[in-house]
Amino acid sequence: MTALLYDIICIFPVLLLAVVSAAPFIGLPEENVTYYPLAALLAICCFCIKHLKGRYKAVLPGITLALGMGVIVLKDAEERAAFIQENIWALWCLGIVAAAFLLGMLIAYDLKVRLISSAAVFGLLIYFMVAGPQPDRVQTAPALFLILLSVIDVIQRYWKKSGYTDTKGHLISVSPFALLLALIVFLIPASEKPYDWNIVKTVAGRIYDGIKYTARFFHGKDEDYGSVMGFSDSGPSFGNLFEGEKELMKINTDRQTGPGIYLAGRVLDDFNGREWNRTYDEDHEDRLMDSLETVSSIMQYDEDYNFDYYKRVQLYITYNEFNTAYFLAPSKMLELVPENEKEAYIQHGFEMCGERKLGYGTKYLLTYIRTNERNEGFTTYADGKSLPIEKDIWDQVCYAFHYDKTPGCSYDDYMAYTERMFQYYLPQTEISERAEAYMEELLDGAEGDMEKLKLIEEALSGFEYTLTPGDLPEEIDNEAEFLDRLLFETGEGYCTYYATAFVIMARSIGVPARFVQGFRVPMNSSQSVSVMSSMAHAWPEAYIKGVGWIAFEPTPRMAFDSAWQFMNRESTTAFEDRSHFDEGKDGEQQEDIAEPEEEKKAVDLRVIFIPLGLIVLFLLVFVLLDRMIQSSRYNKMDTQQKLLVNCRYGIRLLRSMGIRISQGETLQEFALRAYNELYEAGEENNTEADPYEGTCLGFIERYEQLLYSDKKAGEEALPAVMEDISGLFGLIRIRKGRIRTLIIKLGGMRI
Amino acid sequence: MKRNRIIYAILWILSLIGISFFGGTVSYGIFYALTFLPVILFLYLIFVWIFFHIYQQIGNKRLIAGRMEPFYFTLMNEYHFGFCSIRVHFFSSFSDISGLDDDTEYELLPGTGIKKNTQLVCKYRGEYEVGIKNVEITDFLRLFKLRYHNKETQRVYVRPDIVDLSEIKSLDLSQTLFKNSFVNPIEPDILVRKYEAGDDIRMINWKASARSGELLVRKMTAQEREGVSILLGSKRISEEMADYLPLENKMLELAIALAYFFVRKNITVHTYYLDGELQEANTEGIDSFEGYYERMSALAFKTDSDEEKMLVSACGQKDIFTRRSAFLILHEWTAAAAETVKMLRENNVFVMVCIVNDDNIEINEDTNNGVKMIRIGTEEDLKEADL
Repeated sequence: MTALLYDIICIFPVLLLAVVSAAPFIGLPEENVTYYPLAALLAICCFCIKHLKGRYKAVLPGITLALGMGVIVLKDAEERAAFIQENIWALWCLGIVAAAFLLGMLIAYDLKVRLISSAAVFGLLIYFMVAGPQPDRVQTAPALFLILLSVIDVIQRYWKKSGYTDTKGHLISVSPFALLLALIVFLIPASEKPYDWNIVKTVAGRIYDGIKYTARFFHGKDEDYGSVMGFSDSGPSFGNLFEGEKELMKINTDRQTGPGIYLAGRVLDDFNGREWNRTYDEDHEDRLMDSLETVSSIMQYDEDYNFDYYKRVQLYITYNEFNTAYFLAPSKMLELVPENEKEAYIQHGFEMCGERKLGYGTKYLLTYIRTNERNEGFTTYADGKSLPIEKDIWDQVCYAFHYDKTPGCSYDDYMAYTERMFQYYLPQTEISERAEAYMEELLDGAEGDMEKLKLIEEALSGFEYTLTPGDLPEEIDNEAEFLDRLLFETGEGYCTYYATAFVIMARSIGVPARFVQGFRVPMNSSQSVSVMSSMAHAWPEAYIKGVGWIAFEPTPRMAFDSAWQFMNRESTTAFEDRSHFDEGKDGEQQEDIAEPEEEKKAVDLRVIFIPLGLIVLFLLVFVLLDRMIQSSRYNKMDTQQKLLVNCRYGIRLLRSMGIRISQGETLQEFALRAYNELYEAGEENNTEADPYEGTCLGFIERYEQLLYSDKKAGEEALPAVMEDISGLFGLIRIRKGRIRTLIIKLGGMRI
Repeated sequence: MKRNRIIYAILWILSLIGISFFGGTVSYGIFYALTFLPVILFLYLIFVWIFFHIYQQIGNKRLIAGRMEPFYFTLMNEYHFGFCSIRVHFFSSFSDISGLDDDTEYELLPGTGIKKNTQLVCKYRGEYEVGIKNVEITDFLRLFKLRYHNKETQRVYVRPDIVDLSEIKSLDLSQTLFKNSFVNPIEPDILVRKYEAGDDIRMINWKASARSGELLVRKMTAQEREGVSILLGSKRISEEMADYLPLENKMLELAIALAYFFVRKNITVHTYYLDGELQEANTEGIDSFEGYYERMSALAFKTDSDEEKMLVSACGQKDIFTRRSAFLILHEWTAAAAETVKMLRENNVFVMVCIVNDDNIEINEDTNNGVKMIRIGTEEDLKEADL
């Protein structure tokens, strides 16, 4: 059993590797299901040949061969060649199994071959890993199993131990664990791509964030923010700036944002020629009002195609290296929900400030309205919007957005809101005559406010962009001088300059406008975007009554192409009537086509009986041949050898009746026990000369003499022994039945 | 093992590099195999830990210190997997197993066992564990090992050895007897008897022997009623077995050896020790020695059995001053011991003080004055001691 198990664990991986690896190359038909079972059968035949004793080793191979021959014989002569050609893979399978078995035997019994094979297999694995093609798991697992066995074997050979150190036994006894490992390799799926270490990166990132958060906790406010380009809590600055680069926050979005978004922080209304300030400080739901106004306006203008003008977008913002008092959000914000309830916001005009300082870890979800202001259709809408928003529309929109019961969102509140916009964002603005002339020329022909604002935006975006426009001269102390310097002297600047200029110019034509500071964030195809400090930006927004606040981008090279196409108003929506498809060309119903009847074939019983007959024939021939060989051998023996064979046969016959020699029992003791079991107690057949006279057990004593005595048995002993054997058969017939007796007789003596 | 672990670590790191650059079954397969290998090996060690059994047997549970006893143990694999490496470590502080090496690793195939017959020697008197102390198992790749305490240790009760002292050089046997002042040894009617094997040759009366032509020894008078006193300290000096076991063993061994010596000469031995209060164990002859030996073997040393207290209590017993000899077996030489010796000497009692201590203590020997002081180490053989 040890040898068999050892062979199985050493040879089986080789067989599996060979059979699986060869499968693509031997011309297997598609959807072939017999290749592996055939390989398994052939492998079992090989094991039978190796491990079974005597004539039994040929039984299964013989049956297999007979079956194979039978299948070929059944075919008609003219089909036979084609059949063989079609199933040539079976011959290949036989060859592969045989070769693999032989190789496996070499591996099992020669250490050097095993080591070389394992090294070769490992080398091949590495080669395929690097150069491809990738082997299947069913190849990798047995390969690794084979290598592991070799490693275990080598370690065992050089390990000085006492006790049962047999290498074979050792390998067999630990192989289940090696097999378990191979099974794990086989079962766990392997990715085709290299590992991206995302989990590790995420964990490392979290650890890093945690460390930075802890460090920030102790370090307090970071003074760098005071100089970040364009944005700081203290207000916009003019002059030369440096660009810092830190990740301030992260945005996760649903990809409806378009190519970029503007996150507004500070919203300023008052410019004195050198700096912006906020005078509008009232606490109203102004951003919400702005959003509701825009939506109501659009619904009133073109309800059916309102999606051409606006979209509802969600963002999830997480602050990182950012210390600020502001919640940043697009101007048309509908809703902002901080993750931490303690981080509620307070409105100062259009600015949303936290009740306490916001910083690392601040998270909030916001919903806002994205408008299609870059589309010409939107411009037409904004300029063509002549009617004020009706109360019904307003109420419907508030109801639809669930703000109908929110304080400060009534229609009256909206009316008050519009008055405030003009009050705070359209102060008296004076520009120079030169600027006025410039404006007049620029806006010649433009009719609506939106069109005019677009022209202003276009004009300013044609100027030069620079981060180092130089310090603002001391003599500049009003908006008119500021504007003149930009338009007619320097012609260059960065976002703050252009935003300021736009606001001044917009106000000069009677359009309320404001300066907004925040972040201009280019969005990519990813759902997650980092907002860097270099994205800090300033832009203007103008108010068109009945439309709402519209953001503009006058800074050169900064505009996003955020327009999306209007839907084609002329496309049809009718669908064809599908039921008409079933009609024929002339509208006639087609008749079902009847299926042709198949010819019924008779079952060929030859397919069953011939192979069965061949098997039986083979067995008979096998048995006959075996008996002939046994007979021949027996006849060539001398008396002593014949006696020995017959005595052993007798012991076997007793064993077939369940009477076996116990360990340590002498033959005499065995004979006595057999006598007691086979014959009734009390029968006095014993004589001192021959205690077993009259029984079939006399051969045991003769067997003992043969084994231990120098004295040779006489010729008369053989017939006596053979008579005992006949007697034993009689007992078997009585105890076990005729069939059993016949089977045992057919088995014959083992010579 | 270290080498194997280094190789494994290198291979695992290489497998990490492999999966970082290459996808597919090979790179991931090698990575999974190497990553799960420690799990499999740990599982294997758990199986061995659960199904490995040790069967130990000692010839006799009541042993005597210093004497060999047969010791058998069987390492048994009662499961279906092989145990690659089993290493057993024995208790060695207080016992020795002869013929076995702690470094031997055994392999056991499924259902097999290894039986070893050897000899166990317990060094000291007391109750302690012997045999296999802990087991070390290693996996088949020699990467990990697990060491655990043997769940079924053998606990034995060891009695002190009975050392057969052939003589006590420092002692004149006549000093153990009461000298009847009314018997004048030079008188012609001196009491003598025939010499018997085992009699001290110093007791031979040469004159009487010359006169009579046969060896005659002085007849001991009133020897049954005198005897010797042994004052035995029974204080436990430490909580650590390694400290107190050797000391207590040697003190008891000495007391028993002295008692055995005198008992064979039909001299009664009175042994005093403290066990709460002063206890006395007597043996008058060889017949009662067994009981005396059992009692002494079972003597409990306690931390509150102060030697000074024992000596003071013993001095309260008038009998010790009527005997001719007293043996003090102590751990330390103290003022109380000196005072006791002084009192004994004042009553003409020969005193032998045995300080059982490994430290070099200043011995104030005063044999001329009938006081013999010796130091005996805890590991010293009494037969070679300067008794």
